[in-house]
Amino acid sequence: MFNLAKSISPAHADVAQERRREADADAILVRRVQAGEVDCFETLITKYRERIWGVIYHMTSNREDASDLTQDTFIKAFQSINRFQGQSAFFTWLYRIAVNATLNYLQKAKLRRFFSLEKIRDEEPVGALLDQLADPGNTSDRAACLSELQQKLNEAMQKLSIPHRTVVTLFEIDGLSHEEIAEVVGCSVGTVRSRLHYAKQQLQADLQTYLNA
Amino acid sequence: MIPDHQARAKPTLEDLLRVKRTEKPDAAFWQDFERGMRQKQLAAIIEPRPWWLGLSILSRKIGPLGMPISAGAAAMLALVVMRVSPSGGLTQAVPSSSPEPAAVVSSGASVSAGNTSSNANPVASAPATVGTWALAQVRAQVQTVASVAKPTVAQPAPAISNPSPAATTLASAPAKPDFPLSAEVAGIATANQIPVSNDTTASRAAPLKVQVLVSAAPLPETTAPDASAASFALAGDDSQMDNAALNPRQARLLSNATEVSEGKSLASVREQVLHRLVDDEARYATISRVALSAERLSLKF
Repeated sequence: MFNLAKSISPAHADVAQERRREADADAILVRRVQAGEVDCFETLITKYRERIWGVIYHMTSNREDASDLTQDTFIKAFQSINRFQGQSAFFTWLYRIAVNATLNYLQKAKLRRFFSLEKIRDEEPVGALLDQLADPGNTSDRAACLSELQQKLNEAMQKLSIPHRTVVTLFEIDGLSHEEIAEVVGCSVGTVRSRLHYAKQQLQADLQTYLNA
Repeated sequence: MIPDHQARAKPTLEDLLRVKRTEKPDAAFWQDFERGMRQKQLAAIIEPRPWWLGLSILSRKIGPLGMPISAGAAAMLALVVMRVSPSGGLTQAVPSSSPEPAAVVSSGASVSAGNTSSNANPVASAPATVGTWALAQVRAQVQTVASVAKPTVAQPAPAISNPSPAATTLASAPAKPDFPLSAEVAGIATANQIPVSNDTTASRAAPLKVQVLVSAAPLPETTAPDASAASFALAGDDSQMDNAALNPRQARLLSNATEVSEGKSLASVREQVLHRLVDDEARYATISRVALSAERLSLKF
């Protein structure tokens, strides 16, 4: 007989257990905020601001926009905290607010940027860039190379469509599961997997220079 | 010697994307972030709440009452729709710009207001009641209904008093079966949405009728409506006609009705009326609607 418990890897089980503990702790804080202890919301902000900022930044590739949208996300969450009924995890609810705010912002501002891959290929060999990143001694060069590589990755990410970029950001960078992404984005798990597969194909094609270095 | 970057394994896409995870702001950024957060929190306090948010909150508060309110609104809407429907004997308002009430020449079943069939010509089946345009003139107008019987019928038409507050008198004479054509001339100045005749039994007794509804002359307000009502039968007792109380147009219509009533058949009546329309356009310049149904010819002035 197929045992479902054995099919789940220990790492995934640990992650799931950790998420459950976080959700329980968040639920307690949320109930206290709903009861009037608004200071508890500061704890939630401090806990999730980096992750929320990271999601928004990887979708917008702009620090200032990510900062503004992160602040707006927490303000909206605070204004709507009484409507949160605990049917989903708090961080899922918070992610949904952040992703929706970012999607609205991107669609309004039409921030989809198109970059030319030729510009990337004309620059210095990527192999040397990766070597400098792997060298722990040369910290100054390493930071510069890391920044440059991150810029290249941002450019490749911006070539994706907004839904595909969202899925890649949530899965590959933020580490959410398919089910959590489906809950945040509001689509089926199959759609999440399909978008992820297509986005990876496109990223591999765009970053071929780096991958073959 | 093999370079290091060739010796190591090729990076994967996941490795590259993992690089992006290291892209995190420093502590100074978060200090600015907290400062901006405070400012936005204060701004959010004094910011007026959008109207749609108020609506959503209101809808949640009146959630238990939402169903009865919706049901009541739907019922009121249904009543309004039924009220203005032209079928089913309900009344139809005449536009306020209409200078005169409708005149209806009909044969067969009575065309009193609200007594039309739904399968008739929509124009002809429109109830001949006066709409809101007459509200200011209701007191000064008189509804007169006169029945024109066959010349061989000596009996005057029995008068039927309309029970409506407006002065309305209906005089009708049953037609002879071998010559079922009779005419009723009615001058109406009804109050809003009051049927001219409710006596559908008497109307059905006459298989073919020609009924003309015209507006009577305005009467002084001091005149009692019932006393000023003139009931007459063209073929029965012409002496009862008070032509002095009628304006020239109404007298003309009455004379036309007399001619029509003496016609030989319904077809000839229709032809005659239509012929008059063609030949004497100036006379009927005020006709706004002519309609023919199975046994009914309607004119609206």
